[in-house]
Amino acid sequence: MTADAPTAESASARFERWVLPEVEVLLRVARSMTRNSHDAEDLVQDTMLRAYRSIDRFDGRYPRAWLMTIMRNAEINRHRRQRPSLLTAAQQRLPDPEADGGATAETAVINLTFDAAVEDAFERLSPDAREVIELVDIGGLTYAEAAGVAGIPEGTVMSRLHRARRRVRTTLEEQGYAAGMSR
Amino acid sequence: MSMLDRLRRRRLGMRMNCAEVGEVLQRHLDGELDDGPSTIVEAHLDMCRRCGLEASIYADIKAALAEQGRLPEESVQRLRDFGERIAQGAPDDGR
Repeated sequence: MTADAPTAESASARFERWVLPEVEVLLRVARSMTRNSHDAEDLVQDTMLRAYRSIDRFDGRYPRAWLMTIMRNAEINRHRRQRPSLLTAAQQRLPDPEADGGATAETAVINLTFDAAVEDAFERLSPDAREVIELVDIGGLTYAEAAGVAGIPEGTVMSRLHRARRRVRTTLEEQGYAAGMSR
Repeated sequence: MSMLDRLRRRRLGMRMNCAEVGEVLQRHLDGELDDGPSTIVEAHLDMCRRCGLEASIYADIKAALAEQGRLPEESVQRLRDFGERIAQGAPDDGR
């Protein structure tokens, strides 16, 4: 991507170009970070406001990584504002995703069962392992973007992620799931 | 695909053995591998049942995890509207 001169266009145009296309990714990551759909929307709004205020200083390179850094800082501030005793109450799980309307009833049931087993295996992972899966598999970030958000090296993202998926796989095998049982 | 194409693809897939494919398989599925090696892995998965099965297991797990990231359309729309208001020069906190 070519970086534009910081003052080449209005703040609004820059915001439309670099921030608005990232709304869905921002929301995915926010839901992973907050584990609460209402807090996630608040966090994305806060991130967009902060991005707008600092967009004149942004050089146009790697907008997603820039936004993720803003979001991470916003989330840290949000936690600082909350009393620790209230944090636990906010850790509500997101609602279950809807069933796939295009699948046959039988396939849909198998997929839902498999998906639930994967979710259960995911919940058993350590917080570090869950974080990288949340960022890459659920949030759709690249390894480099996930590294920026988590504040760890890219190689650590990769090793944690691969190890986490192997654990999920082992858990599924222990529950009797075999290859080809889903999708 | 012609017989010749199949042979070429098989030869391409043999440029990596199963252990080498296993080492880079997850990066390949994540789209984090360069085009060259990724093409070899893809050809290997076509010709090797064991590695193909391994890939399908991780692809299934990845797809199931991605399902958790499906977003409510109304949330996305609310945030798009909020972003549009900011872009139009009315950056209030909206809450």
